[in-house]
Amino acid sequence: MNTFYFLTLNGLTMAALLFIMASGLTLAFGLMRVVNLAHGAFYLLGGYIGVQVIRDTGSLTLGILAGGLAALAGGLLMERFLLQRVRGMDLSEALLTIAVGLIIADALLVVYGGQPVSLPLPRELRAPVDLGVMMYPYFRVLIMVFAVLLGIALWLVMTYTRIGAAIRAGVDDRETAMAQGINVPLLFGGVFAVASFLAGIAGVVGTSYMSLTQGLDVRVLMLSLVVIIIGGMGSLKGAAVGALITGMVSSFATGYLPQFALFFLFLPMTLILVFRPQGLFGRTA
Amino acid sequence: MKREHLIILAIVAALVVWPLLMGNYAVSQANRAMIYALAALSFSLLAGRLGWFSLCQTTFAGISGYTIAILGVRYGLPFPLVVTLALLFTAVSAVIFGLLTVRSRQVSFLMLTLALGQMVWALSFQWVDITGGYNGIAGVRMPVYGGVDLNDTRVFYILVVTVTVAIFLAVWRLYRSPFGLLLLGIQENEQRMRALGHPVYLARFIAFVLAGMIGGVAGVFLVYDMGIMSPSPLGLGHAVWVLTAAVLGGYRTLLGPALGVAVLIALETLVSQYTDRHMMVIGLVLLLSILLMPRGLAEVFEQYFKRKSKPQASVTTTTRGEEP
Repeated sequence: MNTFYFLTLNGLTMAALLFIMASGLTLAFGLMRVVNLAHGAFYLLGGYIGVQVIRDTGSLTLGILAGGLAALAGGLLMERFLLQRVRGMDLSEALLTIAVGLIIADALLVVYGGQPVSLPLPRELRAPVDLGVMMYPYFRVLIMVFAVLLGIALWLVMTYTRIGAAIRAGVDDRETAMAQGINVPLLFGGVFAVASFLAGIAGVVGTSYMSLTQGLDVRVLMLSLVVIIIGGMGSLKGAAVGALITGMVSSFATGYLPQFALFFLFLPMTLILVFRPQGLFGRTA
Repeated sequence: MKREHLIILAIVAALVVWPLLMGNYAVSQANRAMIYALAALSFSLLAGRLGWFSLCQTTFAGISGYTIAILGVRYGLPFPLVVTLALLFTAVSAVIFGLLTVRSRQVSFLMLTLALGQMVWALSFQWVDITGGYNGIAGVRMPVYGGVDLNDTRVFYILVVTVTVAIFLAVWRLYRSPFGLLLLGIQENEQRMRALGHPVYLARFIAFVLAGMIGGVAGVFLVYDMGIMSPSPLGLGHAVWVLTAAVLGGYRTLLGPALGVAVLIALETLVSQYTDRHMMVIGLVLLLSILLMPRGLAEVFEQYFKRKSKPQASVTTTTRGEEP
């Protein structure tokens, strides 16, 4: 029974991380049909910078912020200087993000080497707390709380603010939204920046769960894509549900069938694609 | 028209002369280049005709390679049977992937093939009992027939060159056939093709399976060339390498993918004297190709020659409409 609780909690931690990674990505995709395939590289960038700052300053908050800002800078630069040149050509934009992802990941390998890096956490955050059913590391509990708060914050912004309404309008129907005077490209730049920032943050906090290594960028990208394909591109609710499904499947498959763990991750996605190609909460284009 | 024939003749002549003039290293490089040219052709068939950029064409090569390694080395089945089964298994995988992807559009197709390809990569990596995991399966060798060792670089070259040229010629015919034109028509205006009564999904599905089979053939040669099958040819790096070669060379033309592979291999050989950052080089090449010459080297050359001779109408230069 203890294993069951442990795997459930691990699944929830994973789901929390996945939600932080994928929520911005799915909105950016819904808005401009641009999928950022450098997302995993931004995660890695945020992670490495964040860990470096934590080591240098000893402050976890500062590290998380620095990781987020590094990824945000990368996202903004890529959007302004590269993606804008091929705006409207969806595939070229996607290919450019692949190229940028490769370059960033390889540059990180040069700077930080191939050794796995884990998050230097203060003792009180590493210590387990009693959750009633079992003891579980405090920091992982904090990640889950953060993801829930982030979800609520994004939901509030999307539902009750003008910007949220503009984003929803843009996701639903880009042309009509633009005709109504909404500056969708500018909005997209903003959403893209937030998505990159979240990827960077996820990179720092996620390092407590998965060490930073070569190849992690591709894994993170895969997981994020799986989440948004399951949930439906452009849907925040979809990202949350997709993250829960993917996190749980990942945790239990690793626990019980480690040989097929990665394979099982893709099973729900494949089923969704066959029976509901637009995703659980996606709209048909 | 005439020039096209001349170019093909010149290339075939060069391929015949190459092993007679060059040393073993150059011949084995040519083997590698032709194998990747097949993979890039497999990619370009979908990208150039349908606007479908696939990141799982190398996966088909990997599936075929693993079938050969597992059946040939683990179970010791005879060579012809192993190759047949490898191609059969690739076809089955292509049918399954095709059914999953046939309805998707450009960007979602890219994401889907990325995910599917990585799923197979994951399986090859984690299913250690069957695939040997990270270390892979070593000792994949061709048989010796009547005193002729098929593993010999030059004998292997003859095999690869024959099959590669045959496949390129077949694809050349395909591009000019009504089916090839239908694929172009689907890329330009899917609705119109459907309204004209063409089976759009079926045509895309057939193209996908055909491209998958070309990838499978590349995989057969790839595994015998390397002598070992490991997860790395199924990784994203290889898929992006092939994509970069096709974009660099010009995925809309027949010879573009081969040209791109040749240029990229030459570039890598050159650069490797100064740095071992291969992925960064690939990333930069892809970035610059998309920004500076999205149609690739082949069409740059074509334009250059056309400007010299009289202008000519072309089917492939119409602009692609935005997706609805």
